[in-house]
Amino acid sequence: MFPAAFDYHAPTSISEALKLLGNGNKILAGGHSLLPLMKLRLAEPPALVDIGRIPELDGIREEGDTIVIGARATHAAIERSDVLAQKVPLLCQTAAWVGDLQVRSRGTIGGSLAHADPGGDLPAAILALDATLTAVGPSGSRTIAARDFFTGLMSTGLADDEILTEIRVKALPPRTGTAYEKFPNPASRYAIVGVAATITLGSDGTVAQAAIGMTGLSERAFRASGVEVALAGKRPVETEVAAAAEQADQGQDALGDIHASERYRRHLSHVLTKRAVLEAASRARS
Amino acid sequence: MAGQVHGGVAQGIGQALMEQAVYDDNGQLLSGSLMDYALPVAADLPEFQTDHTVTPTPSNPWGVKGIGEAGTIAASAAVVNSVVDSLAHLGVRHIDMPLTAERVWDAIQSAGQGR
Repeated sequence: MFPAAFDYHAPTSISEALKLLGNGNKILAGGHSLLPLMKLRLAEPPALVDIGRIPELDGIREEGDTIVIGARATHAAIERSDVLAQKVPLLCQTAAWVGDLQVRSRGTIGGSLAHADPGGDLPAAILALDATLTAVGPSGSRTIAARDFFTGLMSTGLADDEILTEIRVKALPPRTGTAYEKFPNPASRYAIVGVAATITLGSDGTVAQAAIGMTGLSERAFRASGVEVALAGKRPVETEVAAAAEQADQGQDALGDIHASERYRRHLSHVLTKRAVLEAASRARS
Repeated sequence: MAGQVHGGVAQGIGQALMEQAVYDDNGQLLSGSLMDYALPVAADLPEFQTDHTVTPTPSNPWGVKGIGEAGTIAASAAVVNSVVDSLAHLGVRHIDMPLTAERVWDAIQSAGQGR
């Protein structure tokens, strides 16, 4: 199908873009989540506000031990970024799994996070990294912690009159390894379940810090805090990690659809959590 | 001809592992777009090595026959049989196509319970 009729604006500044929001208008970044929905007429915004001509939204830069990623950075740019590969490799590892080459070349981190598809990959990573997101609205800018950002099915803490402008992540401490494990939907390639893990080892080789972000299992991405607590102080070996991974779906209502039942998703959450943690721990050691 | 066999094999693998038209209890098609109907793409498939024997048919002067169905019919059977064979030691005898990950997992779980 083709989309319902819409107007198109291409502002060249954030303030110009803000004036165009409201009335159900949607921001267009890479369009690779939004446009398919519009073609299915699951979204019919009266106008698209293309933010592709606003230079402040691009780029990946360092500010001390924080890496600042512009909301319009593409998944491909993140995957290729040298500074992220060195300081926050989890983002490169996760971005590499998004969709396919064409999607990664156009889709953006800001769009993916603001859209908050339950099967999107990046929400898992930014939760595991405790990222902070910057939102700009008519009354100025504010920061939102990743943990507070995903509020429900395709819902975020962004107001309708705000634009997500940047994502800030801290460089990972020493003795930290990361991994993203994904079971993709065989048709859409979204995550049926995706698990992002950062594991920091103590000098005795046990888990000092664990952060597990999960997507695909339920309506919104979340931190698997049950797993994190179960891993603390443990040696990251198969038996201990498998036992901790059983906590992955605790307290979560699981989704079920034609691609994976609720039961199978819960099973996947255990298996992928175990694999992600073991991989991250092995990387932490090397 | 090799290309036609590749295409046929891809279709056969797709039928064996991925493709299904799914309806709900009201007859509503749930796999109504390519976001839900899984088709194999090149990245899903291995490299193919093809070979052939040549046996001219006596039924026409050129000795030729159509090649279109060779890849697609044989591939589905080969893939399903290979999966069931590798799970036979667990007691799995049969799995309905498409052999999605969940169906294979279910077959393994059920076989373990002697069903």
